[in-house]
Parts: sequence; structure tokens; C-alpha cells
Amino acid sequence: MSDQYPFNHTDTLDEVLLDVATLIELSPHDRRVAESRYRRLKTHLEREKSPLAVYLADGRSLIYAQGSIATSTTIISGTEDDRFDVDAIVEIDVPSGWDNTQALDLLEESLQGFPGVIGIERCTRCVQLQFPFMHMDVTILDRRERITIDRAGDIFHSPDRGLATRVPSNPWGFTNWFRSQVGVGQALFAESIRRHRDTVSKNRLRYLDEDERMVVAKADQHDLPPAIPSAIDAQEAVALKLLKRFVNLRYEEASLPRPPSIYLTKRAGNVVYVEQGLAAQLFMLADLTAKLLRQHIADGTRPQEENPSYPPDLINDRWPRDGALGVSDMKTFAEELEFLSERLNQMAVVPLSEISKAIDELFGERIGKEQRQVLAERYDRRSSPAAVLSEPRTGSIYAPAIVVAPERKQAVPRHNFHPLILDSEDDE
Amino acid sequence: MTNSGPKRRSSDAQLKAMTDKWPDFTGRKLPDGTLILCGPLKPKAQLYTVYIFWKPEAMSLPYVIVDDPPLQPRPGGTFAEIPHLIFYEEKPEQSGLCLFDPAGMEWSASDLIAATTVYWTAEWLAYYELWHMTGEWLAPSVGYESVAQMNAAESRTIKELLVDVH
Repeated sequence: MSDQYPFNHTDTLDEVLLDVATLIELSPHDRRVAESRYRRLKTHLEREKSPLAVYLADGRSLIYAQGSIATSTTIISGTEDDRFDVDAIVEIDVPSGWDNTQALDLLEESLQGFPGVIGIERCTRCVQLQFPFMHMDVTILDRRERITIDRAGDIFHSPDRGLATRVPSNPWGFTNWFRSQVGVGQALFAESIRRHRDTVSKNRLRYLDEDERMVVAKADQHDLPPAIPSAIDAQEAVALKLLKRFVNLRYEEASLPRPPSIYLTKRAGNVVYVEQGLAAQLFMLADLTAKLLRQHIADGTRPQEENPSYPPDLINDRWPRDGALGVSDMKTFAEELEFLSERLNQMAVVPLSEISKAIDELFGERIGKEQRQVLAERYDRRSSPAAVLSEPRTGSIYAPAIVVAPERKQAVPRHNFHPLILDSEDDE
Repeated sequence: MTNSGPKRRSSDAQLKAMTDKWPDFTGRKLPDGTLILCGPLKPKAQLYTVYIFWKPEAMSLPYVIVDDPPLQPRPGGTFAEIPHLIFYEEKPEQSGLCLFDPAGMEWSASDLIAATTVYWTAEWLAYYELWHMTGEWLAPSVGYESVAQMNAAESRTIKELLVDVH
């Protein structure tokens, strides 16, 4: 058990990291609420008074989830902010006479009056619907060119200053690529995270109104066709959630632009499954990405990640920046990833109290505190002294609630701890 | 784990069971029958090396100490505050782990160390790490949590008696 490679017996660190991942992700309930809003987006844009309705009238499903909700890697946004940011694509044939701002103009107009919305904001490439605890970025994709790649087209880049342009894009294909890379998740790992969810998941999204509550209830009862792709519980996707959380916090007050989530997603899809566990998977993702960036800096190049389903779609077209600024972007991110790798190496061999300090540092004190509470509750047997399970050879101790294959473990014989003083009367 | 069928296990039987169940442990029997077992356990996050001493004719329970890393109080605390020790005041880092309640007859010399003491040691270490993290002992226990608590309770009792006297 004294291997040089630190990630061979990291069950406890993996348990803690799974708690963190479960605390920061969309709970199953929140996924159902988010799903109902995608359904409602379709209804709202196709309503009679919607200026976009006429372009959505060919009967095909042209509105779909993209980004983290489609890759099953959505996490809360900031240190103190329990908000989820999700993305939707509205695919239409943009008339040839429109300029490059008109599609987003029409989308913004069509989204007015969306039920329960507390704000609608025009962004460079999307229109953002703002709900309590959730933002939905809605993007127009022009499929007029009928590119042979399924659901490839152009999105519109329409900044406040400067020329509005078109950007080749195929989020549908990218989602499918990522999901095919990581699969649905290794069975034992997927079962393990489901068990963590049973006790750790936090529901954050509230129903906007009675209609939404009914839609969610109906979806539960009638098994409606999904509006967002099914959840995947692959270890690679969970490692990506943790990396995204780390990056969010490290760049929260940074003046440099943060690397886009889609770049991290591409990296996560390119790193193979690491059988030693979640900590090792996250280490591999951070370490390999840092090395890649260091190589680019040394070679005077920059990462130009293409969407594997549609190479004209350059997924990191805005990061790193051009020239010396871009070198600075890469160097800063490499340093952050090296910091994460170093911390993970340390966390693999230290006691829980030290792991906890590192969790606060990497993923935020609020999440760290919640994770400690969850762990303490899981192992608190003072009022109901159920047996814990132990693994032969290492003696690893597990709470039954999270053990996936209990038949491989041994129930620790029941007993009570008790203090004595050596040489005291009590000791005789 | 009970006193029924009090067939005392020999040191050889204990050693064989340890070799079968805990192959990473090393064990040796001294000429007087004393058994010294040493091995690694990783019950939660940290890897520990523990020693187990057992002299069937002279001891009522196996004496387990944590060799590496040595026991530590919580920051700013004392060794006597570490829960569930057989507290050795002169050499507190060599305090034993108090793994069961002797009054509850939860262990006897007829039990195998490999099937009881080692698992309880692993469990003790897991809860020791949790105690360092939370400040609370979360496992089932009877009586006082620590020798420090025991001493404090005794002091309180004496002081209350003295108040009654005067």
C-alpha cells in the first residue's frame, strides 16, 4: 500500500469528491424543472404572436438543448451563487435578406412575455432568459445552407461595437461526440454517484407557476419524451464538473478571460477513462491539459480545437486571445491546472482533515462546509449503531449507504468504544 | 465476541488467522507466547502502521498502538482528549486503542484478533480521522468519550461533595 503513484487507494478522496460533485450539480428534480422550461421555450416561440413562429412551422423539432445540460455537466455558477446556466438552440432557415443582427433581434422580441422570467438580456451570441437560480441562453442557428453534417449551421456574433458576423457551429454534433466519447458511465461508478445523490442532492429550482408544476408532474407520471438528453454518470463527466467548478472559482476575480467550458469539455472527452478512480481522472485531466498548454507556449502555437463533428466550428475561437495576451492566458491557466494537480497529489495521501482544507481551497468554503456535514451525517452512528463495512486487506471503512458491492465487504462486528487509563483500577 | 465457549485461542491460531486474513501484516511469536503483529491499514484517507500486542496468559485484551503516523491531539488540544484510548499518561503516543467495552464482554480470548481487533482498529482509525475533522466522535460508544472527560467528571463530583461538606 505504499506505492509511489498516489491514486491507487483513494476511495475516501473519491467519496469526498463525489459529494462535492453531487452538491454542485443539477439534482434530478432540478433537471426535470429545467426540462419543463425547454418544453415551454418551444411552446412560447411557436405561439401565434411570436415573430419567430413562422420560421418554426415545418413540424420538425428545431429547438433543443445544447452545452452543459446536453452533456450532463451543468454546475452552479459561482462561490455564493446557486445559479445554473443552461443553453438552448433555435434552428431556423434565416432569410437571405436578413443582416447578422436581425435573427437575434427577432429572437429577443419573441421571447418577451416568457412566463416567470425576471429578466431578458441580449448577449453577443444569444438572448438570455433570467429565472431565479437559472439562466437560459437561447441562440439562433441558421441551417439555410443545408450542410450535410446533421444540424450544422451558423450562429450570429453580434457585439455592441464592431461588425456582426456569422460563426460556423454544430453544438448538436459536439454533444453527440462528447456523449459517445464518455459513454453512459461505468456501471459501478454510475451506481455509486446515484447512491450519493440519494443523500446529498440539493434541489434549488422553484416552480415558476402552477403550469410548470403540472408539466413536471406529468413528465413524472406519463414519461414524456425528453426535452434534454438523458443524464450520463460517466466518471469523465463528473471530473469535468469538478474542473469547471475549480475554474469558476479561480477566475472569479481574475482580470484574464477564463477558458470556455466547451474547451474543457473537449479536453475531458479526449482524456480516457482512468480506472483508479475519480481523483485520478481529475488529476489526469488537469495534468495533461497543463502539459498541452505548456507545449503550445514552448512551440509558439495555440490550441485550435475543432468540433470533431464539424471542423469549421472552432470551439475555442475566443480563447486564448491573439498574440502575447494569449500566451498570458495559456500560462495562467496552465499554472492553475498545475496547482490543482499538485493539490490532488497531496490529497491522495493525507487524512480527512487535510482533505477538507484543500476542498475549501479548490471548490469553495461553502461547498466544503456542506460536504463535511454530509460526510459526518453519513458516518454518524451514535443514535442508530448500524454496522459499517470494511474491505479486506486495506481495512477501508465504508458507510453502507454508499457501498455499491456490499458482498465484497465485511460487516465490522458490533461493539462499543470505551476509554480506559492504563494501570487504572478500571483496567484490571 | 462473547464469553460463551471460552476456548482460548493459542498464539499460533491467532497468527495463522492473521496470515490468512491480513496478508500485509507481519507477525511473530516470542518464546513466552507473546504475539507481536504489525501492518498497514488505510481505513479512510490516511495510511497507518499499527502494532498489536497479545500475551494470552497475562493480558485481558490485545493492546493496539498506532505507530505511524503517531497519534495527535486536535490542534490546541491534549492527548487525554483523544477519544477511546487506553491512556498511557507517561507516553501518551503509546496509548492503546480502547476498542470495546470490557464490561459488555464484547471480546474474549476465544475470539480471533483477525476477525475482531483488526476490524475495530480500522474502524477506530476511521472515526479518529472524522473526529479530527469534526471534533465529534461519531461511532457508538459507552461511558465517557475520553480520559479528559472522565477526569473532568471526577473533579466535578469531588468539588460538589466538598461543597456539601461545608
